[in-house]
Amino acid sequence: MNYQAIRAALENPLLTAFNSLVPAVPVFFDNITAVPPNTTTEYVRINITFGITNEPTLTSSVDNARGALVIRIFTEKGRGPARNQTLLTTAVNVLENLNNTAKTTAGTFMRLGEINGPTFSATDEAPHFVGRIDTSWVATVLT
Amino acid sequence: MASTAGQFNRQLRRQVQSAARHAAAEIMNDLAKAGPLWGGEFANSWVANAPGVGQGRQASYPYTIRDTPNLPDTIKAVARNTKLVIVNTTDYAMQAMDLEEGYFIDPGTDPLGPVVLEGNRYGRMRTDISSGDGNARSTAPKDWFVTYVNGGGMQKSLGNGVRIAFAREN
Repeated sequence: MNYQAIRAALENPLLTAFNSLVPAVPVFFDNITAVPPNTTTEYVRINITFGITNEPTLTSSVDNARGALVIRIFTEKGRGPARNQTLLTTAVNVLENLNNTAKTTAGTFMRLGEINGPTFSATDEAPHFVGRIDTSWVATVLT
Repeated sequence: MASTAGQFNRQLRRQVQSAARHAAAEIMNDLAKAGPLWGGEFANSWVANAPGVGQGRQASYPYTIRDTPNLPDTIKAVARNTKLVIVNTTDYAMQAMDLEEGYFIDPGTDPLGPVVLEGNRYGRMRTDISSGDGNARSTAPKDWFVTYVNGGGMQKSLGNGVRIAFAREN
């Protein structure tokens, strides 16, 4: 099992999509502690977790990893949900494209489950309006 | 007197309801084990409610089937889509499950559970802790709840619940 290949299969298209926006929106992945210095700056956090590495079957063990993907969009609080929802749409489009990608003979084959959310929150103490979606994923590394 | 087929159907309905209760207890135990564990309040605050039937009792970890509400074995009750809803009754549940930002303070005591992150706090999410010599601590990995639900853990517990229920009834 190649965890890094799975992570890359999820992270790369999302990073490309947010970097392609004008202006580009900063994206932070797991184990990166930096956040934009200006607390009201919008940004995206993408977290990938692994739940199962393989699934034993009657005949063999299939290297189907399973896990969860959480995308949080941070936009300025008190300005309505529009900007947050625009960025969420960018993420959802990427996820739907991933699901429509045909299986190849090499690389990582990825399928996502239903997308939960978005849910929105804005706590008293925090400067951001946070939109959040999550989904399950199943991945097989073919090479 | 009920026919043999009628008794069989009723027995099956009982097993279905029993499976749901066993699965709920399994899931509550999993959530208590996977989630943050500081003083134990969060782990001991999982409750299974049955919509239209009644509230589960406030129990504590480890949970058993007795901590879930009795489910009627009528055809209507068995056909109900949502049999049990598991909730955490603490007022900081959303923050503890990494579903919302929050404000975290050190209670001044050591946690009962293992510390998985320690350092300086830099953000408003529960696990926004970077390396450093700060006192911020976290006792469950980031997104533990979503990982449990989406990563295969909950499906496994559902299967266990069914297996236990049918093994005990037969």
